[in-house]
Amino acid sequence: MEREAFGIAEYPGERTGMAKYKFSIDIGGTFIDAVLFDFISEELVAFKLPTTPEDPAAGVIAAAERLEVPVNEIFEFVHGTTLGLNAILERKGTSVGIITNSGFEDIFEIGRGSLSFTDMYRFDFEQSRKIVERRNVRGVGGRIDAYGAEIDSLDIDGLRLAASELVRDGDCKALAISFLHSYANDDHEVRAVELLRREFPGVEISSGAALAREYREYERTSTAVLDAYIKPVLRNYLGRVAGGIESLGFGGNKYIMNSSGGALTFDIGEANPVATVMSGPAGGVAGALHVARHAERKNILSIDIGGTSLDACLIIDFEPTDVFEAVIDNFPVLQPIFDIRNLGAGGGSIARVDNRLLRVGPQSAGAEPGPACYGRGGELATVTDAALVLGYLDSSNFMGGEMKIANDLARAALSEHICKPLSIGIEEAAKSVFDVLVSRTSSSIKEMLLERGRDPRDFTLLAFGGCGPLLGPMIQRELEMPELMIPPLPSVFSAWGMMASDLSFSDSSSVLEPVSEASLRRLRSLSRSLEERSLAELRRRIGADVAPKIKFFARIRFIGQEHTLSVGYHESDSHEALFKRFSDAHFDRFGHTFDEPAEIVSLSIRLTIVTRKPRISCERARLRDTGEPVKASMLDMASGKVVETIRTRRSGLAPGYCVSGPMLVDDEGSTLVIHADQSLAVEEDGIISVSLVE
Amino acid sequence: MTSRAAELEIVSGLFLSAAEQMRRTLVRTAFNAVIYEVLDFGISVADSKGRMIAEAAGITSFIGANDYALNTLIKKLDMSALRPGDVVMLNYPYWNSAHASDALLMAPVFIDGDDIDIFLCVRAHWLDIGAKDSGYVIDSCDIHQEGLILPGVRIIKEGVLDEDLWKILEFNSRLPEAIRGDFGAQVASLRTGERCVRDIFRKFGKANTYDAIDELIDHADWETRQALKNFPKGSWTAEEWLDDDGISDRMIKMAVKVTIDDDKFTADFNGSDPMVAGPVNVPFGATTTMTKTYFKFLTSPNSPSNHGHYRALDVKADPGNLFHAVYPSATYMPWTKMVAFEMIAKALAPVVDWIPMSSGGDEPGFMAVGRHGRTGGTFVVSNNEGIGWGATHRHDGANALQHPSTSTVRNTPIEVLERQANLFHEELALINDSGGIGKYRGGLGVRRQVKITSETEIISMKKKSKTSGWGLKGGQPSPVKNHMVLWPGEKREKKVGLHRATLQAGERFINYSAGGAGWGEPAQRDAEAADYDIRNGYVTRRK
Repeated sequence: MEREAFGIAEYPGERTGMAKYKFSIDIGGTFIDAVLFDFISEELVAFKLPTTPEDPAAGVIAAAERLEVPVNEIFEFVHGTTLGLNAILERKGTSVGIITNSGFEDIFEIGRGSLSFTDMYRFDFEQSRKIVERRNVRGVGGRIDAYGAEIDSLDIDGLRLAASELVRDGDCKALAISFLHSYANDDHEVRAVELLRREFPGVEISSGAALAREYREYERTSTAVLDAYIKPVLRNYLGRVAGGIESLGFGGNKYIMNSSGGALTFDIGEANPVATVMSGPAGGVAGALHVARHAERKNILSIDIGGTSLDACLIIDFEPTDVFEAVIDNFPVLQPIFDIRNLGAGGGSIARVDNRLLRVGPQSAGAEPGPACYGRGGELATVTDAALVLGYLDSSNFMGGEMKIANDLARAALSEHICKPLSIGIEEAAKSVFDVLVSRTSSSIKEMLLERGRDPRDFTLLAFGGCGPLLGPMIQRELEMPELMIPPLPSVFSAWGMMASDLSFSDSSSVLEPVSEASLRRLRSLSRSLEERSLAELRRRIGADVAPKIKFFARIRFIGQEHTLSVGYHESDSHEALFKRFSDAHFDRFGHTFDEPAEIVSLSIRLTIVTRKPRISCERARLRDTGEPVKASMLDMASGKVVETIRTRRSGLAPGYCVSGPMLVDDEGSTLVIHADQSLAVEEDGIISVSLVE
Repeated sequence: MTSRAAELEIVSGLFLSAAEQMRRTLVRTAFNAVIYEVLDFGISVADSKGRMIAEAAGITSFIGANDYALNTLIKKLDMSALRPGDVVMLNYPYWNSAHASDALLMAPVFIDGDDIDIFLCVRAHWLDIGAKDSGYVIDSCDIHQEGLILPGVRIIKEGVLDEDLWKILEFNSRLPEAIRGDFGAQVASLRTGERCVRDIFRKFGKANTYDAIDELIDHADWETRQALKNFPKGSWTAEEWLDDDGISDRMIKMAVKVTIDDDKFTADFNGSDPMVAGPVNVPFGATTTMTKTYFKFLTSPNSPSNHGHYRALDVKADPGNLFHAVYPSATYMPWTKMVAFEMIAKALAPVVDWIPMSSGGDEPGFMAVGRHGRTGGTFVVSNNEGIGWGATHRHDGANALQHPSTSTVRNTPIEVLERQANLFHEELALINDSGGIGKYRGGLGVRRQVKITSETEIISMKKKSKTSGWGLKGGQPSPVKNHMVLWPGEKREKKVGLHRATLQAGERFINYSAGGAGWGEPAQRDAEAADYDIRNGYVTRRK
């Protein structure tokens, strides 16, 4: 491992030779996935534990306790959690007050006034419970105009009064500060935050422009509100996790994933928790990106298929696609976030007959009660039940033998809910479930690609998650994609991907000038001051001297457009070069461009400290007995017939191994199902590559 | 070996995906924000009989947006003259479902052989097609003031653009580049759809696909009829008033008679006034669309539409009625459709307990046109204002949402309006006490106060500023009506509905939108809910 590639000066324990392990944990809906990599032996340990919803930190600590290595030899811990997201979805955040411009107190409540497509015909729509009660919003004097000029000065006394009313009378534990046009001039927000932090030390404060230097007041306010709303939750949680693992002897760096694949120190994550709301799925994309670069596949479609959902994301030319706006429970969040689409189909998706149609999903049996075959009281037929009936899953060795599942329960559920109403046989019923699911999922993927003018046949499919190896080959066949890759340990790949993420820190400044020679001169001096400012801030936060990689991005739009595109900016750029880069990006994204003036909305900087990453081609420690291949029968999708084949352990497949389907390959948490028109090759690094046979 | 039930679900999903892929192509490549932001378009796939198989969501009330137009084209054109690669363009309002700015492009698909198998349609709003005014027309008196008319002509012949026709279009538009871009996006969308449809036929075979379409339409019909079984049988009427026609001050009566019997749901609009001079007349296609949308909520709000969902629906309005505009009547302002939208609810709510009370009843937005005080460039901006929605027998109405018929459209951010136009905002707030009272309260409307920073023309767009909404069982309508006040607090202060006025720097307007109506006796309101309202200022005084 190259020393200078790693930005942080030193690991704790490094001098004593104790910096051996990197440890990561991803908490999903059902399982805690834990992965430990030994940098000396290059061995990887992975295991799953059930989640502990009543006390999420306890599960993380339990996972650390289960490690069979000295915890003080772990130099880095990376964590992804859906805690912030769940706090929003379940309305379990803190009581938030909003301070905004006087006369505009209702901006957060009015929003954009639209319904989502799923509710568009609900003329009896019921608004859900508010995150901020209207009485907890205060307006204060002060106004900035659209060009950043101050029209009225900030009313400091009014601000003080507003905050004390909210904190003392309104019981607010957190405040969101959001003023009009703060993206253009954040002076009022910055001063308000400083004053409130000083005078109300126990109260969490978030502000709009500090999180997003973007146009659009409602979206910025919403971002600040959600940030404030989950701040105490995440702070408590990370505090407990840190305390727990440190009491076990851990003394290394602690990182939490953000939504765009970067790792944040716990300290930075606590300060801006809204950046972490999509941290779980982001781990998978970070891993996919690492695979793309390592295996030199420039275009990848990554699909993470778990029990309840399928998350898809594109990597184009080695760059993951991201967006700057996500919607969580109808609230917009302006944060860099991977463009991950939830295409709503997983192993728990429920199949049912609707008059004369067979529907699959979107309802899911989830983890509780789960598919019928789990025997936990689920009676409805799910995709997992159908997989068992078709011979894809091995009931005697499910999840590496960690879980018992029952064939007869799966058959009974399908028979009752599908076979009987349709008068069809059990195999036909089970196959039908897959046909419907695969067709719909493939359509959704095509639609997603078409938004960017792309064709699935130009991409390598990378499938992971507990159901990725089962459904990936079927989706590959349906979309006629030339290659499918299955990474090692697919069922814990998101946790693995977290290890492959780099520490990242971002900052931005507004620009609001047309792309011109004069503005580019100003941009150069702005980029230098931004670099100084953010470097100093990062060093302060980490408490060490660091020399990160630095990248600049400019958010640009044609004048009159509402939305911007982010393009790279280099100090040496001429205005023609920057305009062309933007114009090309516009053409690539929308299929056309204009010969019209464009404006730079903001300049942002991303500081990256590269971390040590596990090798993909690692030996896996503590594997179960590899076992001999056994005879099995399965439904082959190519012929539509039940065929005899073998079921083998993935650990028994050596690099260089090639074979044609049909075939079943088990690993600890999933089963790869190859059909007769597919072939499998194990690459040097242990990645399985599946091709379509002509 | 797959089951028929799976095959039907798959074919249905693939046709839906075809429409969805057409939508993503259009949204990705369209030039004008009215298409990619406001979603002012309708996309559909139909069989050779003109029966809609699948459509993609645009604006809420654009359900079946192309059905009437396609069926008219099938009747009016010589279909045997169409060739593979042709694209037909139609914007003649009386044959279409919308005003002249909405250009419908239709492409026949020939799977194999000489017969048309599928029709694809994409209708989208063009920024300028040569109407008398730029932006919007609010006072036309006949169709020829509303834009150049293309009555279903082959603009692309066997894949080749008719350059002569295109020159006419370009020379009749104030924004030729924009319409070229949007036309290109629509054609790309049609080509995407054609590719998808060919894949479906290839995969399932022609006869099998046709059978599946029949079965899917039957299934949708079944679904609708299941829902209709829960409605009472009988006949009910409702009335609503449109402020005026933009030419005279006379209020215009709109009426519907809803009849539900064993196998039909009829909405008869013949009790409405005859056509009027101004541009508020409704093409019959648009009347059908409006009715289908409310019918959708009543019968199958959660499933995607096909022809079968509307087989039990019969819409009636005789030619010459306000709701069946004929040549040469003016049809530019689609506001009639919005104000009339909840008439079916008003007719049925007394006998169907779960139907919501009236919303604010209009889309009370505004446009601003002028020269930018800072950059000197011209601008046109618009904002669709939220209104309160009606309460139901189970819950309060929602605050400040777009009109139900445009429920997916968004308002325009203050920061966009202030930067792109001369509209400095002084206030944006919910109007306290604007929700109609009741056991369940109506949602609140919105007040917006703006100071003009440099000479700007303001177009206030409202067609229900003179009458109130309606509640039931003791629920009250909103005390606030949709309107705009120009020059508030000055001697020349003026309250307007639909109006164009030029304001100078330093002058103000305030835009008001109505709340929704309440349901049930106000005295029966839950004490905790009443406290909550007071505490949060939705209601400022106890009854």
